[in-house]
Amino acid sequence: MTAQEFAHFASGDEGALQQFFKAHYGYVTGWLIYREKCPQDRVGEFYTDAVLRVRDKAMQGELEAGNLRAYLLLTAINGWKMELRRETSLLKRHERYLEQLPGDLDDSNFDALIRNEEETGLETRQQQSVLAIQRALKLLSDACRQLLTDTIINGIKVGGLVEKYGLKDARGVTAKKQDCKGQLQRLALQVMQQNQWSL
Amino acid sequence: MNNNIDNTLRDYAAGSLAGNALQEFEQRLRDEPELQAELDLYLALKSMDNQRLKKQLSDSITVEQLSPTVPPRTGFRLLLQWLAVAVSLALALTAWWRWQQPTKKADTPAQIAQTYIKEPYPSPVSAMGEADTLSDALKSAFLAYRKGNFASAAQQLTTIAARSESDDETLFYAGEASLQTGQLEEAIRHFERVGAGYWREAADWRCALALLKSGQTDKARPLLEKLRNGTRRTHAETLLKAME
Repeated sequence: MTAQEFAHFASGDEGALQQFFKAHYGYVTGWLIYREKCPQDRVGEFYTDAVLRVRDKAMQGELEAGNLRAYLLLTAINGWKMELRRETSLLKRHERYLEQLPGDLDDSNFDALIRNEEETGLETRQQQSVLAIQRALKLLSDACRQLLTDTIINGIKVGGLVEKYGLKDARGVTAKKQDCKGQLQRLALQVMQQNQWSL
Repeated sequence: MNNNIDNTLRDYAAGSLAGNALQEFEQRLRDEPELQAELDLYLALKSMDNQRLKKQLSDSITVEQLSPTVPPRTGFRLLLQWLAVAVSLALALTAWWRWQQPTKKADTPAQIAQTYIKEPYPSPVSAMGEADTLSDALKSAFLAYRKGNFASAAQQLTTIAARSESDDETLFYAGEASLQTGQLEEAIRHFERVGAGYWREAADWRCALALLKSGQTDKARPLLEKLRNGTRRTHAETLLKAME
């Protein structure tokens, strides 16, 4: 990966992510299958998790353009070994819970979506929180949802978002972010109250 | 969120925090509802974003027909594999070679006897002053024997032994010289004439060998049985065992 390609990858460019994913798929999944005895039908899952984790690290400025493939391989092996130890990260448990939820999440019967803690790996409070925030995110404007994703998930500095959101300056972005966060929290609170879930 | 907390929160969500760092962070989550709210928001946004990205990426596996590749062999693994092949080959070759070898048959009594005959009996020893009493003919015959000229020794000693006054030593060496030149019947005849005394056991031993070499095992057996009680017990038993 050239320095320029890495810069794109680390900036959150999804095209660069696709290239990175394709470039190392054969090597890393082959290693997991033939050296680490990972079942073939699950290898894609651990590889994808590792790619997204490496991307996060790169976006946080914790990685350099050096030997990314080795770091990726190590991350994928660690993920598989965690699975062997029956350890699942909190994020992965959230992802799995989210996968089980209906695509058109509305207000109706949220309690029916709360499952056994042993089944989901998430406490009831955590499941309620996921449902409330997911519902709130659906009610939030696209611009707010994107701004929160850019700042909280992609870790883009507010200064870099001035132009994208047509705001006056960095302070404007910060104010907008706080506003969006406040909206989201209020919406999530409403969902909690509607379902009589304790805060 | 400040950057440091942000990274710790991400590591916690990804399951990368361990030890004291993990304990401290979990304590902070219990103590600080705002931090817990930040984590909940992060997890909700991140899991949603990951779900979207994973969908895109998994589509590319199908579209691009991506497949796992067999990892390259490392030098050490390659060396081990070559070593295993070499050892297997060596074992197979050894097994084949052994299989090809004709089964070694046990030596016959005649063959064993020949190995003993090949080593001539030690030359006669002259005691001090004895040389003066020996005849010139006997001196010459013994000299030929000492030099390994057994044909000449046999010829001379046979002539001397033909005389009635020949002593046992002369008769014995006449027999031994004949044995060394392959005149087996001549050798047996000389050995059988050796009288009781010092040379008798040696004569029985060499006579038994001559008899075995000439195929007369029946005649050799009683001599060997007799020798089982003497100093040549081991040799005699080896031959008797081979005769069974």
